[in-house]
Amino acid sequence: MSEAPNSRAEAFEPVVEFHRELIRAGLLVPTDSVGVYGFGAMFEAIIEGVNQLVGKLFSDRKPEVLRFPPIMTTNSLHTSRYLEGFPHLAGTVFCFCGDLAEHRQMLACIGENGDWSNFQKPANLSLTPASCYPVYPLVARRGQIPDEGITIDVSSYCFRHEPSKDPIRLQMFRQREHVFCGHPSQTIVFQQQWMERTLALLDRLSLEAVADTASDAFFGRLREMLSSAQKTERLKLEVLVPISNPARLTACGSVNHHKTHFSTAFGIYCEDKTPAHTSCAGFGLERLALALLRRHGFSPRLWPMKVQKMLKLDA
Amino acid sequence: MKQMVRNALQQTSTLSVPVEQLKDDDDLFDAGLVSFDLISLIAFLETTYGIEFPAEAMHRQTFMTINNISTTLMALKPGDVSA
Repeated sequence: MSEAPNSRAEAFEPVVEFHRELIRAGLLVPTDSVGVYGFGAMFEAIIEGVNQLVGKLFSDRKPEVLRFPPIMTTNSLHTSRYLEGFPHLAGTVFCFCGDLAEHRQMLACIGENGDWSNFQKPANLSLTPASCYPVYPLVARRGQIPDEGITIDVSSYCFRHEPSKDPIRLQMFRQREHVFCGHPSQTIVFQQQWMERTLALLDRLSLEAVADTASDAFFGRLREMLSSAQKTERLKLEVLVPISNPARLTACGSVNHHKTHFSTAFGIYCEDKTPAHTSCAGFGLERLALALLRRHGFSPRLWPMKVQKMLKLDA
Repeated sequence: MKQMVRNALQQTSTLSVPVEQLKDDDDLFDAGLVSFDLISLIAFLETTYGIEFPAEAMHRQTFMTINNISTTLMALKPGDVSA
């Protein structure tokens, strides 16, 4: 991690300094892969604190809690159409499935510094790109959505292949999300509630957050057109705070209205047989923790007592 | 050409209206064409007909109707590659 940063954003001095201080304080532990970190005890304590807080945003709805490993079938990823929009971010799992002879050939290939990936085959498994993805096929298999809709609380590590030395852009990171499936008007209420509650929570954490329309990082030539359409329809709203670059706002959470994208893909219907609308809303937990470190400093024991208490760091 | 576009829509898109019921100047987005359908539709047309839509064609209007897509396709010679 000592190489020179390779993009303008990463090379920006405050970003370099923020990265350096996180490592010096033992909060992030660098590995030999760019954008993949271990985490020290204090960073984990902050993560645990913010995870508890954002998990309570919809406690009045008594959401069903579901946890999945950070892996899902590639079939589901295909069905969700992730590979149409984000092929550059996806990660798939390949495994050795050969016999003894092929094993010998693979070892020989490795010995010659050859491309041994030819001996690996797709395992119909992909790394989860967002924690909500395993929810939609499950909900579809369960049958019709009750008239009042359903709210589900999910969390998992997620993978996106976008290596960067800027600590806001990790390749493996944790998300805590709430997913809603139901009628369109209920989905709008869910989104409004999440945004109101989130801004209030961040205010209590003394984070100066703003909400804005946003778009996803689509791949290819249609990127501009798709981003523009997403913004025009206000399908994605982000909550932004200063993180690695204090002069620039970065998203730490978002609420996304998929309309009938997932219900069409997987077959999710309301009791009246109409395709359900779905929405997911949540946080990148590391980004929220990093936002707190940027705002209050690298020594959480010195943070305002109110914030320490909220995050249960005062024990 | 219009039939080719209809075939491509049939293979790549999940419209709320059956493709055979669409008129040539119906708004495809109103008929349920979504962004991911569009990505698949463009990839299908480019692969099948050996063309590449130029950057200046990458806007909503180009793909709004069967007529519009057909007109753009007819203007592109096979093997045309945008800069």
